[in-house]
Amino acid sequence: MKLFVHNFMSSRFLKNVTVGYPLELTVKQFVEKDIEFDRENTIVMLDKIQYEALLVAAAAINQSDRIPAEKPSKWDELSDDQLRQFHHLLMNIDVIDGELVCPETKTVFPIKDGIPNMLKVDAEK
Amino acid sequence: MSMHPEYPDFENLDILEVSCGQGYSLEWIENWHGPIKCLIGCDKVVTRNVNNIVYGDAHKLPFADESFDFILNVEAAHLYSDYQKFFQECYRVLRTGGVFCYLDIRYPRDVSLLNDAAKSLGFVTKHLELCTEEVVEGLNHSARKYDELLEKAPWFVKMFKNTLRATYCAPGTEAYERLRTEQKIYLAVMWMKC
Repeated sequence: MKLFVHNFMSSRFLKNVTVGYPLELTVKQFVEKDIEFDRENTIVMLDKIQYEALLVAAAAINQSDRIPAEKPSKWDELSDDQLRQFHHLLMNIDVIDGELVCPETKTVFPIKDGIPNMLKVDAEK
Repeated sequence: MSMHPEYPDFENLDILEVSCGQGYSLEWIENWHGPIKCLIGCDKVVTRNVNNIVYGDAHKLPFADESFDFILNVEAAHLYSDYQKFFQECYRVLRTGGVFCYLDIRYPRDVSLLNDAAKSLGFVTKHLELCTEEVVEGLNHSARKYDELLEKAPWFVKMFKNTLRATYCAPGTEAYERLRTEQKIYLAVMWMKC
């Protein structure tokens, strides 16, 4: 599961969950890839991501220092090096083993072999 | 996918395919319309870790509200227990202006029910067509290729000829005849969340 996928995911479908976002993330194993950086593509992605969730994902792999604690006001004013840090988090990190947790009910959804399992029945086993 | 207003330029869209199977269609999208930055698949049965696939239920999509620009669902919703709940989830996770493209084999009487269900949620029908004839022509073409392969297969494979031909909807099979005679039709719809 690439880290950018975490930015989309929610436990909103669970009973009694009103928001279910962002999911808490525990990473036990991940791999780092080397996807080619493209400035414009990175800015397009960043325009749509939820920064709070990205901070959660960065913290889960102990790489919070790559990005600022506050969301930059204008992505296109960042240097290539600064944007590469975001690109690295979003596209180069592939979570193999870990857990996603609903922030409201604390339901745990495992990530195994890189695939998050968001089927509620399996999560309750 | 050609129904989509931005076809064939999907690279800046956040795309979700619900019931993506083992991800082969995601790979096809990536190969023909990529590279796409955010392309995610969701299915209840997954065996390959490719292209950001998530185990998930179409009736309970594990995604935040207003996350996607484009949702694709191909030949799957007829198997769901509650297509209205699925449509509701699609509406929830789509951004305003986002598009839901739905393709399926249905009974003719289902067409207005499906369209009414989508419109009752707030979707606007932007494109609706019945393309049964084209699909049957496509099945004729693909069946010819598969039949040729089957003829060359060993005897213990040929023992299952009828079953195998049913899987690729070959002429003479029940599924094929239902389409050819339009007892069932192939529906292609694009709804927009406005």
